[in-house]
Amino acid sequence: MDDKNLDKLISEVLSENVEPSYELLESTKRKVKGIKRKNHIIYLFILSIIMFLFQVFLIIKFSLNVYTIAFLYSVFTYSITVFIVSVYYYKKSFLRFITRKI
Amino acid sequence: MFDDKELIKSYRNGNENSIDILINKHKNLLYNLSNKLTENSYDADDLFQETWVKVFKNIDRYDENKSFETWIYTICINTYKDKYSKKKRWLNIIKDYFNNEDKDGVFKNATENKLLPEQEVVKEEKNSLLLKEINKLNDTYRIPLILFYFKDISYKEISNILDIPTGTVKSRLNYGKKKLKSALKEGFYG
Repeated sequence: MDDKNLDKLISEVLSENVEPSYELLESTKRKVKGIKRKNHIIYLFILSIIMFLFQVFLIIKFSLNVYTIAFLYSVFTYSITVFIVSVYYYKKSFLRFITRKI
Repeated sequence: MFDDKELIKSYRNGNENSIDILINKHKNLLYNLSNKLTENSYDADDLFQETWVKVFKNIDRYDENKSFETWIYTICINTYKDKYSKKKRWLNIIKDYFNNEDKDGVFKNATENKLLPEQEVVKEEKNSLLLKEINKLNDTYRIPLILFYFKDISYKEISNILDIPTGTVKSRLNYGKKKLKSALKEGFYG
């Protein structure tokens, strides 16, 4: 068999077209879209740990009573939630605001 | 048609629709490559999915001066090398064991199936033999061969994908073809 014939045969075998199934495509897209969400959950988790440690630090440092701790806790949680949600949904305007300030 | 770089930019800006467009745009080529590398549809599905996940995880590392398609191929081949090459060694041993039984089955089916013309059966048998011989090759020679023939990728692009010099690509291709030729001489094509 000559080289030309072999080339033709190999390309015939290797260029055979196979299409991925619809289910595979959909699950791939779902998995890829989940990457960002997973990262966001990890960031939130890290942030909540930091905030918890900060609260513990405040309690020990200033020996706060129960009412102050409860008040601080609610203020912290509320403000952080509002901050995260607003940054997430108004990312573009937030970035514009920051860069303008700088 | 959307440009890859524009789509990547839009994904970085938070537009998730660009994921769908990018995957749909390159689905056939990447799936074909996965299919040729892994030899069975289950592993091909896994490799296809893992490649896309890795592509989007590392999208910030993508160099916009290079072709996106070439970058995907590189990730696909590296994923294959990491995960499936070790597995393949064991699979080949098992396959070789069952190979003779398989061959008998194919000939039996070919003679039993009266609807197929004789030439068609011979051609199919030849193609399957050729594919078997390609899959028997070492990955060092098999991967350049697949890349070269499945989409007529140039030597330069193959050398970029595999991160080897163009001369090495050529020599590996020649060696692979030489091996195939001698293997086929012993079989149907002799």
